[in-house]
Amino acid sequence: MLLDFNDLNVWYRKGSPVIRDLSLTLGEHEVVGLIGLNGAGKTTLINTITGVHKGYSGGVNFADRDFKLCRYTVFSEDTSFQFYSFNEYLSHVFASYGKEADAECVSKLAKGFGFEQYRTTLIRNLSTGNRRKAYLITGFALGLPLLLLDEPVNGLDFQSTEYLYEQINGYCEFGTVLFSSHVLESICLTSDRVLVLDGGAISREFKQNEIDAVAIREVLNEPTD
Amino acid sequence: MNRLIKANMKIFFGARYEGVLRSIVLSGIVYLALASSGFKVNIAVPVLALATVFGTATAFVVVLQSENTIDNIRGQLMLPEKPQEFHAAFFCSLAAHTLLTKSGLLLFAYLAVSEGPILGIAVFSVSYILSGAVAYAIGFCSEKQVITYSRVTRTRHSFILYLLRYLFGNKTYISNTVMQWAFSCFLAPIIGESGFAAAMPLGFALCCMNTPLGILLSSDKTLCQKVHSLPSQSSTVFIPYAAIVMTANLIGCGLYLASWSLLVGGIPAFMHIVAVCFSVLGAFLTVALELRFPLLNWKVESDLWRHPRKYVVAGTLLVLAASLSFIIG
Repeated sequence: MLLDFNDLNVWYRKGSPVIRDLSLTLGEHEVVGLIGLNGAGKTTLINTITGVHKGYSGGVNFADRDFKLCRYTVFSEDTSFQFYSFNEYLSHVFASYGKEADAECVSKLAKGFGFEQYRTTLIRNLSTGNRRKAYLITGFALGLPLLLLDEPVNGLDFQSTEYLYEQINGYCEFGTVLFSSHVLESICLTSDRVLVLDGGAISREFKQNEIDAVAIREVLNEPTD
Repeated sequence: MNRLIKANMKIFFGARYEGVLRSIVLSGIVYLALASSGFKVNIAVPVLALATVFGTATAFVVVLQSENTIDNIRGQLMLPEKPQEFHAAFFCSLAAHTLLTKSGLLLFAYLAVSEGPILGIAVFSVSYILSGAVAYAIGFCSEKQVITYSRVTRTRHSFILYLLRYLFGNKTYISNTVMQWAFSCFLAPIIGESGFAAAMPLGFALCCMNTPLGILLSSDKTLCQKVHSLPSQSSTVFIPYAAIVMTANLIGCGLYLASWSLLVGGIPAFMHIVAVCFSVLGAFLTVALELRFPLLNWKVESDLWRHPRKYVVAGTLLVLAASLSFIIG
């Protein structure tokens, strides 16, 4: 088991939790998709697990260094390190994790995402989609036990989206992917498990053969309490 | 027009204009503290005018060149508003924000310590309106100079280089640092001529008060978030960042010592070591505070430039310097 917590409560203002009593278990080498309507708590949950959101309780310390060393997050809105080129950013992140980048693996990922010609461009000068690719390539190249992706499809072109699905599916070799999306297709094509987040709680879980776009759409269309 | 003013005032002061009350209370505290001290000084009108023009113009330019402001008003510029109405509303909101959070503090301080304030109020008002209008016209019309590097061929990271690129991409930090260094040169004769040579460490504390360099993570929220999400930032971020701040402090203290040596006279050898200690301590405290307690709850980037947290290190160094002066004096 990679990660297991119970009764997670997350808030921005104390007394008004946006995630309530959420329990989650992540096994090793699985792809877990989080889907939900806007404001369901997907980004908040991912930011909390990443350790950058401080307002939570549940007996887990997501900011613990040992846990940090096991996971990498691609945020939904990210313009960080914009005065680095991709190559410099990659070097910085690998140094943070005390790892050496596998040049061949990075080149393969850059080629797959159609990013080769942008590796020496400053991140601030990249388009939204290419910036997203820079962070995604870094995440896949690290190959950590847990990869958190928040709305990874946003901003990507068709070919890169297809390649992203391929990478998510192949990531089981290294570890587990927990990713949020509001694009049903991305969830259905990649996930071993799908968690439907509604009002800060997991309202339904679909496993393996149960994962079906029609069924998930019905759940998403159900009126909320 | 009212609709536009309301929308922009909310950008600067918050959804319920809570920033207005906070600023008025702060100005009131400054006024009462100074007035109750009984300290009176005759401030020349040109000095007040110069300080007002400089403070106001800097505040306007910092806001207008901030990427946060540019993002905030992009949506408004897209709408088919009448240009004169938009500019009038945006100028009024920005002027109110600058008056309440920056220039107003100067006026309150002046009113508290000056002996004949009527002329001063008139000079302040004229200087404020003129400098604000000119800075707005220049700041709004000039495109932000975006630094571009066509290709970065190096593949290894260097956070020092990253911060230098950031600083050259946001030149307000550079100009502020240069002004701080110029201030260091003028500080030596002021402290030296007091005849109290033991007060030299106070100058070191003031030379290390480069507060904008202490908010380089807070001013970029996504960078701050990413830095906190990554492990081992002590070696990859803390040390390079502290090295930059320490270098700026050392240059300031070096200029102060050189100026003292030229204009005042001899410097005890151990003062060089004290200068280095203040530079190192100031840098490490500044960066530790920035990493541990980043300021992320800001609406307008310029609010960061006057945030009280930034003066914690300066205050600590001043207390330390005063204690040292007392011991060696």
